[in-house]
Amino acid sequence: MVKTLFVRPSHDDVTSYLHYYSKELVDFSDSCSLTTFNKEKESATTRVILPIIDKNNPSFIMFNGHGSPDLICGHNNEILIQKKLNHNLLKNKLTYSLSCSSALGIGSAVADEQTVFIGYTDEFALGMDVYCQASIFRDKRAKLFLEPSNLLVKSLLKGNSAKEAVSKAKELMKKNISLLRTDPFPDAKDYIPYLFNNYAILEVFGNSDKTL
Amino acid sequence: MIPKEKEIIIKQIIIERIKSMAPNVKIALGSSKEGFLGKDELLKEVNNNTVLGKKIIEIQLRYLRALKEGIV
Repeated sequence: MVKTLFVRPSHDDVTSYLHYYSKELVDFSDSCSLTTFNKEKESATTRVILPIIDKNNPSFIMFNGHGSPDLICGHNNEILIQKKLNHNLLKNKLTYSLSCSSALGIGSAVADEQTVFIGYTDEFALGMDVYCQASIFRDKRAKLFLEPSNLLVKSLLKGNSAKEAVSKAKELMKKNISLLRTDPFPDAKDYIPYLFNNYAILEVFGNSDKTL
Repeated sequence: MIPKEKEIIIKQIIIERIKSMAPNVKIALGSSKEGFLGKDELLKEVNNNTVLGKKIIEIQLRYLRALKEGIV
């Protein structure tokens, strides 16, 4: 039985958006009859997450939150994974980290034939529409940034390889850039460089042919 | 290494691009403590040559290059 783990902090504006959008993925994982661990907010901390990885050995982990080349953080920016200290916890797994730059250090450190790390090698950008800040679900601009990320995860959960999942996400990013280009509203053009940034920095480390 | 004069021109182009942003647009970049930034805050970062400001220039420049090369 494939086990999945979703780490979903929510303690500031950015993580609130990631938390909201990743709910759909938890439901999707459940609907695929996978054993799904959903650890959100105060449960997205080392005290809860590390024992789950250790004892339940999930095949797939999605981290949402802040990061740096050597760190992946959880709720209230508590450090969950740190290069050299415990990055080996991600060995033999398929990990997708929706956090800044973590692919650069942790991704390259953990990568091998049995391990895949998908993530961003630089700062992930998220655009939003101020008029929708109070109701994230109405924010169609933020959706253009987070929809490709969700497609990537769904693609992995459906059994596509890491390489295929990333390719699908990048195709959708390009499609969303085209949509913004032809959008008649004056704000549309302002999001494009930042969405293109995400396209340029999304990478797979390790065995890109690996599937769940 | 970009020559100093060219760097100044690039910065000015990016500043003008940010100035033309719509008022409802906010961007969050990575793990910055600042969270979502509107046009005035983005301008401040670029004008003050902060780490974030330099990243904003890099992102805008990467896009302009991709546009020129027909990548996007």
